Amino acid sequence: MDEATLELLSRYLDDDLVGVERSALEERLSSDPRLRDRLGDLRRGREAVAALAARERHPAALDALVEPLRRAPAERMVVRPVFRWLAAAASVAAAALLALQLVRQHPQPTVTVRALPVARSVAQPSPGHYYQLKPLPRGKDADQAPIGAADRLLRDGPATPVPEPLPPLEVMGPLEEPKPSSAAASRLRQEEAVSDSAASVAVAPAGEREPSSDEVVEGAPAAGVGETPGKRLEVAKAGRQAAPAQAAAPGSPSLPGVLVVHLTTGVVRVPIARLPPGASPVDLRIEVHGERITRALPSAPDGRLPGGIATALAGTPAPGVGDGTYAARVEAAPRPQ
Amino acid sequence: MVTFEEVYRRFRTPVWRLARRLTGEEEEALDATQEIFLRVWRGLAGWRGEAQISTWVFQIAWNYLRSLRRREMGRARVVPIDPGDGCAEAVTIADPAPSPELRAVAVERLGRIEEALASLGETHRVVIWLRDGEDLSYEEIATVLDVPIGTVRSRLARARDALRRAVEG
Repeated sequence: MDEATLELLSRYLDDDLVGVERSALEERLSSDPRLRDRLGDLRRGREAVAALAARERHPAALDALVEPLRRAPAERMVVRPVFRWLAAAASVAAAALLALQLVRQHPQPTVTVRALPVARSVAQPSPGHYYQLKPLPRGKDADQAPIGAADRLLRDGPATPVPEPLPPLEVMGPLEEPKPSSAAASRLRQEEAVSDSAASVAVAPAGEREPSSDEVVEGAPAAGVGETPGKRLEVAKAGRQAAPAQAAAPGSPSLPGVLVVHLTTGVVRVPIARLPPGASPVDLRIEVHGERITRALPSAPDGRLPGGIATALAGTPAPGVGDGTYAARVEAAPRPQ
Repeated sequence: MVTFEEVYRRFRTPVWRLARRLTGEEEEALDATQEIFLRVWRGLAGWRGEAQISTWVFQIAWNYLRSLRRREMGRARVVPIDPGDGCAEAVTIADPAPSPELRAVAVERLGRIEEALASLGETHRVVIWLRDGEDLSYEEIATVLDVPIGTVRSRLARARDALRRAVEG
């Protein structure tokens, strides 16, 4: 028997056939005994299953098992969508508050640009931390007084008018200078040797050697300058390179603009190559990063200062000042009489 | 608002019978019925009457029993043929005054039916039981089994024919 006929018989048993389908099947049943027998078999099976279901009752043990549920209050499982959203929002807010609290308890280190040198000096100490500078001997002359005292004098003392404009300072030229003559070249090599000597003095640990008078003349730190060990400023090659541009203003008693100095060892070296003729006595005022230094220009037979002026910067530079390149202001002024 | 007590009283026997048919063992059917009513109890608060309570309860029962069968797939199962004490009651219902011979025939026939049912596949067994044992309509069966009503018709026809062949041996 095909499945379509079988399905018709099954549906006929359940009274699911209507209209034409039902009448057509009843017509076939009246004329086909085999079909009637099959319908009888299906009906008996259906009744047997119903009888099987009718005789079965649930066991009494089931009531005992489900008794706790029957006595318990109905569980509210339904959560309205709005409450779901509220719960989600509350979870997000709680997570954000937790994160904020964690950040407050463990803040990230705030390193500003100004504090970077300090942080760097802590991580990698500058030479000043390695070398304990020995205090320089205190002198009696005003020009050998501690830098701090000189600054106070300059600040508190009466203003001294400059009688007449000083001739310009000759500043060391660029590194690529015109090739000098043989005699000049020999002298230049000597000057550079002196310059290197001054530089070595600048970086040498204090206590290893005392600055000599020669070194003072050639640009080493003046004796008796400064008592407080601290960082040193040095106008290095960067200053040399910057100097020509500042030397382009002739007739000025000061070096216009700024010099670029490289703060490395605590020595300020000003690349002045020649003293102004007839300008003695003249004080050189140097201001580097808020530190002011007044230094008497040393005398030289021909007015030349091959190594420039090198002087120590007393005290510790402003907080946050580490190795680096800074602007220095240099001017020459008549020494108060 | 229907209470759990009402649902339990009305469906405890049908659910247990379905569990009995699909698990084949009384103990397992008991545990399964308890689990089904636990799910009914949990879900009753969320039942909003979109479906009839009968189809909702049978749906829970069918889903649980099917998952149970899947977990235990591959395990050989023999359905015991034990008419039990209730058999006489069933025969009495069918025949108010049966003779001992008729009662014996009826018991034997019920035993054969139960054995034949147990030999059917799960899909045939459940559809024939829901229709002939629990008297659910085609639409209700389609809802419980989550299949189209045409599938219910064709599947029921094949299940009945398979049961007939199984009874005839």
